Amino acid sequence: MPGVAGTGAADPAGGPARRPLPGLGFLLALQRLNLMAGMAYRWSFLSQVVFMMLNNAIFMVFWWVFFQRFPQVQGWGMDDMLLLFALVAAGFGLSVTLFGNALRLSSMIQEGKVDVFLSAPPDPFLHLLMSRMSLSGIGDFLFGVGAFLWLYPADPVRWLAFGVVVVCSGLILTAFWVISQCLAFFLGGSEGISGILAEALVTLSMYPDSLFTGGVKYFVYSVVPVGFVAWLPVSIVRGPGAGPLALLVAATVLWVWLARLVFAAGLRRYESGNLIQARG
Amino acid sequence: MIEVEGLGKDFLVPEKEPGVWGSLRALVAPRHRPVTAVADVTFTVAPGELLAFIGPNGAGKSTTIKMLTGILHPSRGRARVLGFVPWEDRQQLSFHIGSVFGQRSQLWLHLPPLDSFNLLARMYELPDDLYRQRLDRLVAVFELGDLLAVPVRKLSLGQRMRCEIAAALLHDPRVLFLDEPTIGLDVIAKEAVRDLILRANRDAGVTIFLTSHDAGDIEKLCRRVIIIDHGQVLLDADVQSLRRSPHFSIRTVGARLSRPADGFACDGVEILKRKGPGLKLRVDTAATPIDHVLQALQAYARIEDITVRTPSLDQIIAHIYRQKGLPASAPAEPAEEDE
Repeated sequence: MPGVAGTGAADPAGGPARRPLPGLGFLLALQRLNLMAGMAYRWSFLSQVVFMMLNNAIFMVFWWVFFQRFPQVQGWGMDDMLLLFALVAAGFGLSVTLFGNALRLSSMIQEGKVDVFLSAPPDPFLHLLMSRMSLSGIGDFLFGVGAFLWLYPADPVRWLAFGVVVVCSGLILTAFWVISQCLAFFLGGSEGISGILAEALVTLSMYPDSLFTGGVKYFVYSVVPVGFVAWLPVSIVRGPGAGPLALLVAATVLWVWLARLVFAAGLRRYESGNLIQARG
Repeated sequence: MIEVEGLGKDFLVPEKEPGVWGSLRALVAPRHRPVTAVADVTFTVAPGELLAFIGPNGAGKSTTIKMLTGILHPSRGRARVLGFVPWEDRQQLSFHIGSVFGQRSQLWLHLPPLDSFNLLARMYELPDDLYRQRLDRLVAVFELGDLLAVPVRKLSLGQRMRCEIAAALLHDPRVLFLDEPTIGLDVIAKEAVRDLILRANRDAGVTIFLTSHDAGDIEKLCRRVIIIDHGQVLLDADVQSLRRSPHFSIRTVGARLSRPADGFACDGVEILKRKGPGLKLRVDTAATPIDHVLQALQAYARIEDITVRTPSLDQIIAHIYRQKGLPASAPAEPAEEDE
């Protein structure tokens, strides 16, 4: 028998060439299927979207009441908070809508549900993350976009900046979740700590950066990337500039690359399982 | 087609003493025990073969399949499937193999199978006309016409399994790995699924690698069987030769005679049951030829009716398990055959 080394690009059985990422056509078809699966239960679909928008609106009402009494908190007013919340809600919504399995990865690893993705041709990273759509995320995204348009109804430059930073913010959120959920590959039962980390990132990103000073500031721009998910995007939309935008894009590339790296390392330790289950 | 040499897989399993104290100790000083799921497996599978890979629970069947499909990295050994090293060339290999895990689904639960098929066609990069052609063929052969538009959650287990196998064959794989494809199915559905597997092997020349706890699957489908336990090959044999093996030379003879059987006796024959003119005997044909028993019966009385039964494959497998000191968890569906 020949050696154990991989065959690399050569295909002894004469099949399609190996590709690093799934095709766009496949990913679009996957998203279409997610949406169709979500719409299979019409009322559940509509209620999740509508109630998430209401939920976000109520949260903003609390801030509005707060700012009626204290108009400024360390330089942040109601409009700043609304912009911050619009950005985070849109980024969060984009992430959980497109990458609905990012927050379920830990349990999927523990229950051996990654098998299906490993026995299919597409790269398992995107295939797995994009095989589920969180419907409430659509409500988050629509609320974020709506709140932003409320603030800047006729400002195309800011619209463009908003679009770019929301994509970056959503990707960094996803990458951070993937890394924290991938702890399950290495530690086994890590759902608890993964959940706490995921929640910490979202919770911290809903407060003004001026509340965090000193060493904490470094922490929230590195280990937990709140700065890149929320505050840097806010400053870019407030006053679009090439420098901060380049920094945000670089941070996005770095976090996504890290997430892929950790996921690939984890897959080598994946132990599968034998639970009875169905996909969907 | 499939070459496996010294393949093995170890897992680290956490160990904990029972009770709250045990939980606290595990929290402070966790302990892990290495467990060998597959110790050392070596075999080859030729193109077009229909092979049963069986063994008791925890024998390492599923772990072996997962290594051969690239899902798990082995701890040692080598394997090539269609010339690929599965865990290194997983993506390329996946275009040429199909897999059905009886306990897992690749269909979307809330959508009709057709939607999943459409996605699989994109996943395997099938051109539209080729996909339509294959789908039409599979729908006809698997009789899926009425199921295509029904959400998978509404299908019976048997209908779902037909769709699963069709989904696994959509990209025309050269090897199909089936991990307990008839688990949980009723007798009729089992027969239908077995027929489809057989047709895929005979008509399309697909090499089938099947694990099952159901002796009926092996008996009705496979020409060769590999029995493993503790991740080691215990037996690699032709199914027919297994039945004819000298180890399985026991026959059960049932006879109804023209007079009460109380006085019947024959050397080398064990009398299992005697009731009026009825008689049930156990004969080891390796020691006592069956014609010797028939002559003894005819000498005693006129034979009004007689049956000679071979052991079912189920019994044979259970016998092998017992011989090797394994738990006899093999299979239901006793299927004795008349000779």
